Amino acid sequence: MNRKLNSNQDELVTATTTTKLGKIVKIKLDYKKESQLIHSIKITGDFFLHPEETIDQLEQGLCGVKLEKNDLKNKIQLLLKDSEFFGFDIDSLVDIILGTKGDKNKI
Amino acid sequence: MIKIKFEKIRILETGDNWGPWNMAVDEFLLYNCKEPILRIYGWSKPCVSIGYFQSIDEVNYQKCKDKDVDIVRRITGGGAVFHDMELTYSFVTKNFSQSIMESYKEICEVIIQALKKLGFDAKFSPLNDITVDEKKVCGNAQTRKNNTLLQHGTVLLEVDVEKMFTLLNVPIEKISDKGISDVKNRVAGISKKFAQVSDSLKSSVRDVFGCELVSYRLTPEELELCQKLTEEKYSSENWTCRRQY
Repeated sequence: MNRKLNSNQDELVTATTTTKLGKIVKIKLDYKKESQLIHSIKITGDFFLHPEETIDQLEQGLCGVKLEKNDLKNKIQLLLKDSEFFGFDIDSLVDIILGTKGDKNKI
Repeated sequence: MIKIKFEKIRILETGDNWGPWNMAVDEFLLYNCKEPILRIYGWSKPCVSIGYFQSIDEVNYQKCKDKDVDIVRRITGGGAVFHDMELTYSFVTKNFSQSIMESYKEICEVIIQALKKLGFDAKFSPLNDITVDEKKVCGNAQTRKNNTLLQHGTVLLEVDVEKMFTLLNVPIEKISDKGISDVKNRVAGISKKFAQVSDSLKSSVRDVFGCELVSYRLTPEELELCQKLTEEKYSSENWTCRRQY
């Protein structure tokens, strides 16, 4: 995990991890340290998501969401409601994002 | 039990071509599907294809350049594939099971029957693999656009695991603690000739779907559109590198 402080004292975190189902899900997460809001997120890996363009909506839709289990889960459920995905599930994706932040106590 | 049936399937054999062209033809077929089509093709030079959602960082870019290996991004999900000694197919249809799992199973049945004709006890390994003796010999990926399904996949003829790993930045989580030797135990080529597999595939698609096969060639206009897609999309860094950390 890489951590550094930007000029606004916002902590930037980058980490990789894997899902429970064997497909790789990598997260690049930038979040605001004080407010715990996601600034930007990139989700890459060898999973399947149909339709594929949903990934852009997912990444954009998560910006501004608080790094808190229920908030994240509710938002991801909403963003993926018309999609089918294989290689991860919503709970594991929430855990991975929170794990990327490195604050396991919130999970 | 296969639910979908076809009266007629077009067979398109495009020979060996470079990666961007191969992916451009698959996309062209997806967006211009009039009748179901089975395309059979190969690679004129080695190529790494990466899945729609993968970061370009999955590929050792410099090593690929040094070894003259193409890199192309697919319009389908899944993992990075080193295309070298293999037969690749794509199947495009407007008639398919809506369940993604079911549609993989139905189309993979064609490959399984083709492998059985060649003497292999092939099995479907959900979601998207086919195994022989518990080793992966075929990987598949699909997408759906405008009520049309594209599934493409590779039948491994020979596998060079060492070379593959020099070209990919494979996450250690994926390799497992046993390293490359573990991958060698999980992936295998079937050691058959391209033509043998191609013939078997054509025979099995006819048997599985109970259909007539009709040979098909792309028209000059269609070839031109494929070339345009190759130049503007699949050989461009904008597309290939569109997802990265």
